[in-house]
Amino acid sequence: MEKRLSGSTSLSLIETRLVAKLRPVMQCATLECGQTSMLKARSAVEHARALLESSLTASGADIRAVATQFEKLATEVEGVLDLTSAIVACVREDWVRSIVPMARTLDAAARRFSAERVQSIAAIGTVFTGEAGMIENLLTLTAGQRSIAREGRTLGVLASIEVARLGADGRRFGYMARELDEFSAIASSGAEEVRAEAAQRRTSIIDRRHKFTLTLQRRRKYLSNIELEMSEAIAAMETSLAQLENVPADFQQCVAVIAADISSVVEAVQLQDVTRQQAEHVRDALIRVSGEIASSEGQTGGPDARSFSILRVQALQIESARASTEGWIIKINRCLESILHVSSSDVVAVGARILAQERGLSAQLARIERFEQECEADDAEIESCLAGLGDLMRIAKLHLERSRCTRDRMRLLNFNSMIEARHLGSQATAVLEITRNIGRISTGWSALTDRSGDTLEAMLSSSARAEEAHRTMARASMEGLRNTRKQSQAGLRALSHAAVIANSNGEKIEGAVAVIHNQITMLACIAVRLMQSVTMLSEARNEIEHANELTPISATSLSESDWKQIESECAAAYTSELERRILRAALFGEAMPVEGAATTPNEVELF
Amino acid sequence: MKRILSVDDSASVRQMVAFTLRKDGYEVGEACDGRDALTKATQSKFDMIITDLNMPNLDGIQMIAAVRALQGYAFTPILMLTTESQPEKKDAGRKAGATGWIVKPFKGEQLLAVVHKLVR
Repeated sequence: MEKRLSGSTSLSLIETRLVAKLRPVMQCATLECGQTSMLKARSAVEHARALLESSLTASGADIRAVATQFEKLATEVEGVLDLTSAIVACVREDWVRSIVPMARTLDAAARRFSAERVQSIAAIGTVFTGEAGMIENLLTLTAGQRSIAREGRTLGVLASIEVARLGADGRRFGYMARELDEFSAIASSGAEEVRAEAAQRRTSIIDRRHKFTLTLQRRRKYLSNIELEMSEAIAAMETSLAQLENVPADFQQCVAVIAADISSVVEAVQLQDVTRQQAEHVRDALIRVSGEIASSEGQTGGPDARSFSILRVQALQIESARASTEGWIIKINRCLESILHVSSSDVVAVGARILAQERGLSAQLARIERFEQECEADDAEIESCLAGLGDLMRIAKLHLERSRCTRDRMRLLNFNSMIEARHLGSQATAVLEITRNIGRISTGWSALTDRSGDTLEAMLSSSARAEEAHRTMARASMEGLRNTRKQSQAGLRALSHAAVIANSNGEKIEGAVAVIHNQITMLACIAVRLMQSVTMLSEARNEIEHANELTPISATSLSESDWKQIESECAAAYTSELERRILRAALFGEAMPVEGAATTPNEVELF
Repeated sequence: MKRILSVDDSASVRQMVAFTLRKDGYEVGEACDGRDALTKATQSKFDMIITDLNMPNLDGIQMIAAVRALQGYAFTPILMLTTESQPEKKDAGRKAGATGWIVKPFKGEQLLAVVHKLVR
């Protein structure tokens, strides 16, 4: 009897039979698929190992280059700091603070002196203008005297004719004719002497007045320049000195920054050694895993889950090494930037600032000294001019005395001629006329002599004023400026000393900073190359993860003792606590070490 | 001038140790592994040895034991400078004759402070 089967039972049976028939085919396909995955996984592991090898070789050579270059760089930097330190040692707060008040005092003294100079030169100019007027007056007076002298000579000739005409009666009148001739000669020569001297003096005065106008313009210009330049110089000085005052503290900070940078690079180079060992251990593990995959090829069992769990550990180790490598390369770059910044900073360039200060102030002092010399030359000119006035005064005074003497003689002659005219009686008509004329020119002469006396008095007073103005200007004011300048020069000794050192060290610093910049450029190039090893580490990690993804083996099949064995196998090669912590994180899910844990310097233990 | 021997298979680490010490006025010799260090310590006297632990040929602990047997090195300070920090390793180092232990990376001032203390 044919046993009829229900629909569902019949389907299940078909399925079971089909599965039974297909099982060998499916097993074969799975094995084939597994073998392909294994091949791919081994290839990925081999590729990761090759990348690690390349990274190790490249970074090893590069870090040695970094160490060598950095040692040279550090030596140069320390050289620059030593040279800068010698300059900074000269910068003392007390004298830095004294420079601006000193410059202000100098500025005030120079301004005061310059203003007084302008005032005094203007005063002397006024004196000379007055003197020029007086000389003109004197020349007019001498012209009048010469005219009277000519009249005297004419009267003398007329008197001689009258004496000849009167014969024996006019013999006593001959004295008058001689007196008139003598008066005429004396008055004429005296007036001429004064005229010549006054004319010369007038020429000289015109020349001096012209010179003084120019000098006055120069001094006024100097005064406005000195006001502007000194104000600007003091403003610049105040800013610069405020910075200079901070230099010792800034320098200490620079030294600390550089020391920290050097220390950081020293650490970074050591960290490369830590990551090198880590990468070497990963490489060794990959060789072992690759060998295990290779030896299981063609076998039905294939590599066990342990091998692929070890790959998981390596992926984490390599990621840690990558992050650490990236970290210390960044650290090196930061340090280089910092060193570059410090080596280009104002603190290192302090010498140039001190030199600029010293040169600025010295230039002002030199200008003031030159100004003093120019003023001394002005003084010599003024003194010579005043001496010229003295010569004129002496001659004018002598002439005045002679004129007074002549005036008295003329008065006497006039008196005597009137007496003589009385003696002549009816013959005295002509003589009386001569006598009247003698009286007239005597009166004229007398008036001119009085006016000459007044003019001489005015000139004496003007000369005294000019001398007084000159004395004030030449001595008191100049002394004040000279003393201030000398005090400033003495006060600038410390700055000058610093400038000498800054000058001698500045060139060396400049050369060393150029070398530092070159070395930093070279180091930066090496750092760029080192970054390629980070890329290689990333690629190696990707390959390991890829190999892990290809495996059909589940880690859940591993027992606790398997995990312990993996830990023991891996840890045997490890040389740092960092690697062991990553291992525990990979195997037992413990926390991964925080990034940068390896960069923290460790404690020291003395036994 | 005190003489210090720096022993490490990493040239760059040796260079950094030497750089740090020379800046402070020490004379520094270098050895690339334990065997090289032993040869150099035999050839001339050093006032201190700073050594790595894991090195080819002869490791740090083996080297310390051998150096201690050399004439004149019984009391010479020997500092381990290594990435290792396991207590059992430190113990092994102490038993071999190490004077102290610094875990890499060192800070310049930290290393110098220890060196001053041990050498001066």
